[in-house]
Amino acid sequence: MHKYVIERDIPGAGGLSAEKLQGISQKSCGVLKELGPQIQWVESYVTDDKIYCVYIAANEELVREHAKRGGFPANRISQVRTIIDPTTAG
Amino acid sequence: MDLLRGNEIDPCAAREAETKFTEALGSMKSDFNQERRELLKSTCTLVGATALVSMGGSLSAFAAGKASAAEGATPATQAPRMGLHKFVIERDIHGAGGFSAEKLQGISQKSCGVLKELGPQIQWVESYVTDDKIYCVYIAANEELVREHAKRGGFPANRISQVRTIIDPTTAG
Repeated sequence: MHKYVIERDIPGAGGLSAEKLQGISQKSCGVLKELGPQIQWVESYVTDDKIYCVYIAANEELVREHAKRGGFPANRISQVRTIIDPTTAG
Repeated sequence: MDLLRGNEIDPCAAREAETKFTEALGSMKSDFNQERRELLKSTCTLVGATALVSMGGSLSAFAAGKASAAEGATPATQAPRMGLHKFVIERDIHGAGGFSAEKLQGISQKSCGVLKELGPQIQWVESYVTDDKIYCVYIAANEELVREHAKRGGFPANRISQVRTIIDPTTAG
């Protein structure tokens, strides 16, 4: 399994209502259920015009398939090679 | 005092004895009350002292906290911490995914050094290193601080976006 960051260009995403975000989340979870345990949604950062999603998946193809079935854009999919934070400074 | 004179009770002596008895009783009561008051007072003092000691402990801990917070602060960051936001920063760095652990440590040290200069109004949460881009999550008072951190550290900041909300599978309800 690998970790991925997905950029989804969604104009006005930051202004979406809680209900709308719940609807999107339900749609996403429905597709994930279809695809099985080889793809998991970790979390998504919702900004004004873009949503940055973090997924764990066996491969990029599954991330694309999830986006296609859910009707979500996937403008850029990048495999995470490593995660660094202040502890990386040693 | 003789209460009995012959077989008779002397009414005067009896009254005097009664008065003395009452007085003695009163004095005993008063002593008792006084003792109670003293006891109460010392207990209160003890409790108060304990409270003061513990309060003193908290105060010195508070003072120590303030002192240690003040140590790392620069004039620009002494304003009270309020209104912090989360940001996602896209940094286009060609070949980032292939960087060695030493190189990543060096970048992290540089970043942390600049953060120390800037004070507690900006914090680095984590960064996802991908092949040609690093996605960084920061908490900061404003976007300007994120730009300043990038400038001083020599890091690109190709796109800075304030996070409005974070969703995950629990958002589906």
